[in-house]
Amino acid sequence: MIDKKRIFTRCADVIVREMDGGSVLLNMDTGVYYSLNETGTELWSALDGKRSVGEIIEMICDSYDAAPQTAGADVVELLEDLEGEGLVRALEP
Amino acid sequence: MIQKDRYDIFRQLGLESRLIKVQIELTHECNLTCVHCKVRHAAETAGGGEITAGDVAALLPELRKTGAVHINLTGGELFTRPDIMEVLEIFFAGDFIYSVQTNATLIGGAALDLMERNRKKIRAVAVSLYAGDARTHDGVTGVEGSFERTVEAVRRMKARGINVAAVTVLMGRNRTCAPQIARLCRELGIQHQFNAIITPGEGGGDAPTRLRLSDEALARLPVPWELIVGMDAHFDAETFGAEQPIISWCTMGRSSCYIESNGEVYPCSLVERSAGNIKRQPFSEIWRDSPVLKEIRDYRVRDFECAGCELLPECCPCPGLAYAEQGDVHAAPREACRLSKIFLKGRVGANV
Repeated sequence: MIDKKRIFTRCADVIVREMDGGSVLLNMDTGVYYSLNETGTELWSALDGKRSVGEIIEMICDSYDAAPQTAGADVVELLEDLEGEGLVRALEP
Repeated sequence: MIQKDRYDIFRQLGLESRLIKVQIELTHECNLTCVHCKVRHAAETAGGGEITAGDVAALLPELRKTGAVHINLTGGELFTRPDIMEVLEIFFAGDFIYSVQTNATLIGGAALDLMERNRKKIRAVAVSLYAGDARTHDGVTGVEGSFERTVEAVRRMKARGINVAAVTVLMGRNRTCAPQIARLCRELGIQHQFNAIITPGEGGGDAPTRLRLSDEALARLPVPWELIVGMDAHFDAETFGAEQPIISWCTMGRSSCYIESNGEVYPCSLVERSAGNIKRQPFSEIWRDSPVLKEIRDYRVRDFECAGCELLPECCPCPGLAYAEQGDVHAAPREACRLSKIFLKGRVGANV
């Protein structure tokens, strides 16, 4: 489980193309493509190496009028996926 | 929230007419005279000069805006351009991945340095290799010493950590060389792929097609058909219904396109119907507004002669090849049909 105080940042070797309703990502290291929906794209944009996971969950809750518990679980799940695919990395505390 | 199935992602982007891959021809010029080449020589090309380094600099933000991720650079032989280093510097500074098609004979130290610095962005340098021996290879290229220069360039690129693959067009004079090529590629540490489709020349010339392998020779090729370009595709049959767009077997004009060396934008390298010219109009406008591209995006499976054929979708009936052969994208591409019947015959029954 990801600590909500942690801060994540996007990996450099990822090509991103944003479009209406989502985005496409390409991991240049692996050649694997990904697509993110609108919420995922907002999360991706928020991963600036400054905001904590908790702050991002608050941001998503505000944007989508979502319950913190549900949004929190979704954000953590997506972050785990992105980290597992080598698209983001956690900064040292 | 995250999806990673390449087929589904590309299909969805194609349905939305989001450009992903663009092939850019940087020149018609070539230092070799390959017997099967479809590219017109520069002197035969109407429509003005080659796109300049300035054109490329203006094009890249347009491609990015349109969604493009992958740029395939081709020719002619792109390393014949006197300004190729300047042009490649501009390309490689972009936020894209690249593949490069070349005969590799002109790749010198500066080009190696540049490609090594950008090797993470270069998915593959696809090198034309016609045999495992100099005599046969040089016989295809028409230039003595080309085999040695190509192989040496491959070794040097590999030593620099650049991803290289060999592509072999199979024809009568090199059809028995496939095992030898496979051995050489293993020794070089590179992947290889064979292509048995020889397309008509640009402008409709049929001279290259006389080099095609006979039915008997194709059936006896010393390589599994899965190794032959265009014959290894796997599709979701549900996407081939009569009212479906053709994105499942052809991406032209929807998620891919071709830019000729004079700036003309085509749906693909084989369909010479200009959608516009990047020297006169921003690419994003061409991609969005071109009547040619809009027409192609309206194509449905039912519009094609191949609709209903039992070989569809495995045969991958290239509309571009049909256009190059018969001037009609909707026709059944005769050469793809011939190859499919030979290669798929054993799996679909004797009535094919």
